[in-house]
Amino acid sequence: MMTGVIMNSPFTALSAVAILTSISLVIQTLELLVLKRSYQENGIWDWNILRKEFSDLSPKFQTFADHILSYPNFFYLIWARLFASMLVFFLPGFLIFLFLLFSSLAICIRWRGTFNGGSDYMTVVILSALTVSSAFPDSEVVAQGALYYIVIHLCFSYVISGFAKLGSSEWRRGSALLAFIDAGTFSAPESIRRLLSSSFPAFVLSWTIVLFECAFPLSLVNREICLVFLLLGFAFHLANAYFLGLNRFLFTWLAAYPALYWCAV
Amino acid sequence: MESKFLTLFRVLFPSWKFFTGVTEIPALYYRILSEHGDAGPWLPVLKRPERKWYSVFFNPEGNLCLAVQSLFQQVEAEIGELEPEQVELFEQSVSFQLLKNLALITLRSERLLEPGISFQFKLNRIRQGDLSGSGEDFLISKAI
Repeated sequence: MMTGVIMNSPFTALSAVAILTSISLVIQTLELLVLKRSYQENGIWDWNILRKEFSDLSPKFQTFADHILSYPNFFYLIWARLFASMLVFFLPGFLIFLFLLFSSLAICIRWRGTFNGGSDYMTVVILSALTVSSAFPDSEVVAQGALYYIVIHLCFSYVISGFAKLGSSEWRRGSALLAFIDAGTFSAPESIRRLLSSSFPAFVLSWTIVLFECAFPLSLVNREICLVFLLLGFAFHLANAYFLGLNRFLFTWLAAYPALYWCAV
Repeated sequence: MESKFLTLFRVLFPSWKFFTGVTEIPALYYRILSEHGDAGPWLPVLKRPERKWYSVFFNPEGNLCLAVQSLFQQVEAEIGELEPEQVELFEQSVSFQLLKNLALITLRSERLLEPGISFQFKLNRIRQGDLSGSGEDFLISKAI
């Protein structure tokens, strides 16, 4: 009840999105700091190799990229992103969000498009909404627009995936889950492999995921239904983080959930 | 140039199709060639990290693996777009250099880089979840 009253204001919902996004960004950025060896000189993504990728682009852009993305400047940019992410807790504002958006784009470009696929897409969607809304901090219309923008992408992220799964015979039969878990980042626990090797549990679990994703827009019908979908979504992303190593998706999607709850009628 | 620009900035055009069907995925292997040219077995470059109690929250090694896997998929897509006369030039591409770099880093970490020794790497396509690991090769480097 109390949550419902508080979340009636688009500004409060956006603040919740901002706080959860900052937690997600702190985790993402700490991971990049730990992975320094992969982008320093002689690392896998050595800038001396990557800079050739930009040779067809304008000389101005090349100079800019050389300044920002070369080592150790890129490492400093990541440190600055960590501080900016933490500043969101205390001092959320346009310049902070603009910098976080810029640094997120820089990280994606440094990894030739994205570092972590879908979680980068959602991070940029949320940061774009937060940047625009913080440029007009007193405008309720802009705040509402930012929330709708996040929710449209959130719903698309489930529905497009869900309907694409419906077209796959492996998902319809229930055999896809075992294949994905076997191909995951970590070795699959034997008990889960056994469970998914049996056709009935695998079938039920596959269809639960497909139906949850396809039906996700129903979460907008009312807040009680919305809460059920959010809980299912949390469990879904938690399982993905555990079995497939997709921890970034868990935190990035959670950051978008207050927007959905606000939008639910 | 337009396609390279779009690739670099593709995060601005979200794609929301995740795990939509079981497909073939590329994997990188290397092998050591002795001074006399004898070839050792093909070994996988990418090793699965160990799951830790905190991996659900903080997972740098797992995300590095996913980024490397994306690199393989990007290389596979680039090779698929090559015209026959461009195949030789592919060795000068950023993608090829990154693969070579990755293989070199693996050899260094395994302490396999010794004087007189050369190596090869290859990309192989395996079906997701196929634990036998046998698939079709679609890129084999010269001895390096």
